[in-house]
Amino acid sequence: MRRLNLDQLKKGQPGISESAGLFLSEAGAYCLMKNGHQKGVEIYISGVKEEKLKVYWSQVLTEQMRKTWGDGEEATEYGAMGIAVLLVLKLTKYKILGRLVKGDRTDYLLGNEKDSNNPVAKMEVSGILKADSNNSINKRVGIKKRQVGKIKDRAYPVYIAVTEFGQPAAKFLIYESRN
Amino acid sequence: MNPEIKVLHDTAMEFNDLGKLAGISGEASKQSNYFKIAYLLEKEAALRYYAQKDNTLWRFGLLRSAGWLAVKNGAYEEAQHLALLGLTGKIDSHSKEELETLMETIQQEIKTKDKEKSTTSTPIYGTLSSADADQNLIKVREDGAQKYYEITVPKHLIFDIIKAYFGEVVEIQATRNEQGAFILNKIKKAA
Repeated sequence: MRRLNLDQLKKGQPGISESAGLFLSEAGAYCLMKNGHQKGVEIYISGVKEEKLKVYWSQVLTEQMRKTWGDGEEATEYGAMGIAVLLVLKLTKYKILGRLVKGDRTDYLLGNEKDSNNPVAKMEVSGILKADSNNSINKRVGIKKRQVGKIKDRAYPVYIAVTEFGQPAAKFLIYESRN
Repeated sequence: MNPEIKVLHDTAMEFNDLGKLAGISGEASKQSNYFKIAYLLEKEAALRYYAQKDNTLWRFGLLRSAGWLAVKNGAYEEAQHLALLGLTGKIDSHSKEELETLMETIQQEIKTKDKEKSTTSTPIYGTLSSADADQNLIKVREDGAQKYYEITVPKHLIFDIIKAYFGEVVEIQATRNEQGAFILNKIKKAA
C-alpha cells in the first residue's frame, strides 16, 4: 500500500515555506491523533483515483499541542491543507506554486515547478474533524462543487480536496474547463 | 513571480498563519498586529505584481488575497481599491466571480460600519455660541479651539435649549446620521 507522509510537508514546496509546511504537518497529525488514530492509519481516497493510503507522521500528541490547537477548528483547516498538498504531489503532475487568502480560508495555485510564474490550476480545500449526519464529506464536496461548478467558462481546472479525519477519508476531484 | 514579490507574498502568508494561531490562543492584540503585517506585505506584493502587467492567475489571486486581508484589518476603502484593480481589464470568469464576492463583502461591511457609526454616541464639549431656530440648528464652539460643531436639535426643543444654554459651556451627546450630520441626543451644562 502506498503512503502519505506528513513529514514530507516539512521540506516545503515552491509555494510553501518549510516553516509553513511544518505547521501543516503538525495540524494534520494532530487531527488524526485527536481522533484516536495512530501512525500508519489508512485513509480512503476517492475522486480522481480510488485508493487506500497509509498515513505516517513523526509527531507525538502532547499537552502543549492540545493547547496550541484548542478546539481543533484551525487544526482541521490546516490539517486538511496538509493532506490536500500531499494528494496533489501523489496524484497529479503539479506542485504547489502558492497559497492565497480567500475569506477566512486559503486556496492554492498549482502548476509546474519550472514555470512557477504561470499557475495552471487552482485547488479549493476543506476539512472535517469528525463527520456526522449534518456534516459529511459528501455534503461538503457538494457545497464545493456548487461553488466551483456554477462558473461555466473557467480558463483552468479547479481541484477540490475535502478531508475527513474521524474515519480518515479524502475526496480529491477535478473540475475541468468546459470550454 | 520575481524573487522579491515571492518573499513578500510568502512572508505575508506566514504572518497570516501567526495571526490565526494568536487567535486560537486568545491573544487578540498579537493577532491584530500579525494580520496588519500580513496585509501590508501582501498589498505590496499584489501592487508590485500588478505593475508588471503580467496577466496570470497570480495577478488576480494576489489582489484578491490582499483585498481579503484588508477586510480583516477593517481597511475597507483599500480593499475596494484592490478588488477594483483586479476587476479592471481582461479577467477570467472565475477570478472575476471571486473578486465580485470580495466586493460584495466589502460593501456589506461598510454598511454595517456606517450603521454602527450612526448609532454610536459622540460626546461634544464646548460653548453654545449660536443658534438658528428656523433650521433647528445650534453651533457649539469647542473650548480652547476655533472648531465649531453644527448640531441638529428636535424642533420642539430648540427654544428651550437656546433659553437654557445659550453662551453656556455644555456637554452634548450626539450621533451622526447617514449624511454625517450630528443629531442631538442629550444636552446638559458641563460639570
